Amino acid sequence: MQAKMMIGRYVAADSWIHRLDPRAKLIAMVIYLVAVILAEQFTELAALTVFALLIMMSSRISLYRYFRASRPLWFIMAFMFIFYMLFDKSGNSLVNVAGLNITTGGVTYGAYAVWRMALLVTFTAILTFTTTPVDLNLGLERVFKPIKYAGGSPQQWSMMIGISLRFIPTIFEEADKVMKAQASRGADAQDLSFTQKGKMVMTLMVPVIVSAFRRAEELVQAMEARGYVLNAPRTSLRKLAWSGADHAFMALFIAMLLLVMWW
Amino acid sequence: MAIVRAERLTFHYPRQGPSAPLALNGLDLTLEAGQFIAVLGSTGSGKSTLLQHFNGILQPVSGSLQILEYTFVGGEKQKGLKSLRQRVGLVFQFPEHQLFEETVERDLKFGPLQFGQSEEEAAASARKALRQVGLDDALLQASPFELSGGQIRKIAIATVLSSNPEVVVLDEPTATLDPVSRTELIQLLHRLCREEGKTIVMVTHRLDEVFAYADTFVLMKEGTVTFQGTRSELMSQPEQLEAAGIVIPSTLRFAALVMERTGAAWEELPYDIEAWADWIAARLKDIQNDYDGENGKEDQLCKPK
Repeated sequence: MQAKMMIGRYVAADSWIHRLDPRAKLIAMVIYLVAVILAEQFTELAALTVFALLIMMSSRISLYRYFRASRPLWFIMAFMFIFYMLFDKSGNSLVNVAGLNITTGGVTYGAYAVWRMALLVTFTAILTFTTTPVDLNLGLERVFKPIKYAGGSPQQWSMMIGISLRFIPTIFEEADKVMKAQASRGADAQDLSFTQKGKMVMTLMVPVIVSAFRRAEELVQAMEARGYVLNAPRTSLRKLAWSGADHAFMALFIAMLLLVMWW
Repeated sequence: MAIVRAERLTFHYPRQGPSAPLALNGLDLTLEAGQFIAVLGSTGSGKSTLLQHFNGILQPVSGSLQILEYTFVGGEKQKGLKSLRQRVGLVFQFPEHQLFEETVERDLKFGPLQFGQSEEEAAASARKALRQVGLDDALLQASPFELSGGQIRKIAIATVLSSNPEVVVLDEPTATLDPVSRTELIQLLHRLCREEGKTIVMVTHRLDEVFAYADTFVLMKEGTVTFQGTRSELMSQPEQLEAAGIVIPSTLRFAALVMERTGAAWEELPYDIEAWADWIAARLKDIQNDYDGENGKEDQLCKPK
């Protein structure tokens, strides 16, 4: 189960993307997100795909890994496609059987939605694959800085996001343990039918959530025992350095966004 | 009858990648039915991995493994192992993580119901298992999350006993228990083995707690079995324990010193504290008798025996 879970994991490799300032990468991801949402035509999406592929290839991480990162979302993607197909009635009718009317518009918009989703997921994986959790946290803290002027705490936000990322594999481990225990007592998920599997997932929820809360509580106590005080002013050992490469990276993304906006 | 026969058994965890060390590395092992078997080894020696093979939760990557009438061959995944899991009950490490129902009773009934018992039979099994681990029926309606650590652990063991397996496999059941509960638990397992004929396979770090009870000792290191034998075989090869990174119990250390000073053989020496007390008392009585006897006969005084 853990092997399938690729989101939120750092992959060590020495590429220029790995060396970029985490702030640059974070801002670039947001720009890319906006561009993907704005893109509505085939040519725009195709251009964004090529752009994404180029960046991914220069990260020295195999494309297969990016492909795998999207795996947990395949089900949602399939659902989105079916939803568009069934309920979007624009364009010409393709199939019209027993009140079911599938149109060209439905199929195209469905495909576009799935395409956008895939672009988002695989491309955002660049951020987590090429940035160590420590750097990511530091970058988030800086990017969140404006929250301070609105009365929020950037440290708190970045800590929250950092910890949630850190907890993903832990929660899967926990679920794995309970599933093994259930299998040992005669309820092997592999042998169950689809509906029975659904019921098993429900029995999984309670213990996994309870233990996640318990772990969170323990983490808080461990942090406080070692002197962590929320919102206390602190310096950081690592200094972020914004270099020429970061300028270039930003410029690349801004150019891409402008291109999509005025296509 | 052998219940476990492993030949060149190898296993590695897929997520650790092919370059990671093997969790089990060409392991050979044969275990007999009806015995109390203790598996010892330092952390990372592959004990837990081996135990999870015993009911097919993990299956060999290469080599072969025979459990009861089931045969696993490396690389071939098997499904539909329900009947095996009914006969081999597995208690995981940190049993507190393996409870998942809302009440103790439902957790205890889960196994029996899955294995085809009726609601009433399952309820009776649940009660029986709870009593076997020495807990009160009053706990049946409690939520597993509101109990103490020791109680949760006992209940986790009871959830496996309730399915009435022939073989009970336990992964460090005594860790984090207090000394009294620890002894109670070992005695319970020993009773299940002797009175109900169950085979008990138990992993532990502490040789002293199982030394007086286990029939067979298995030592593991780096994914292989380095020693398998009876108590006296183990006593005659204390270097095996050291090599496997196991703390030698004080009774055994004491015996080694007595042997060194007196030249006695391992077989003549006792192996637990009670037996040692009897042994020493008997020796003291001998000395007293000799002394009294010698006092009676003046002429024999001070003469060597």
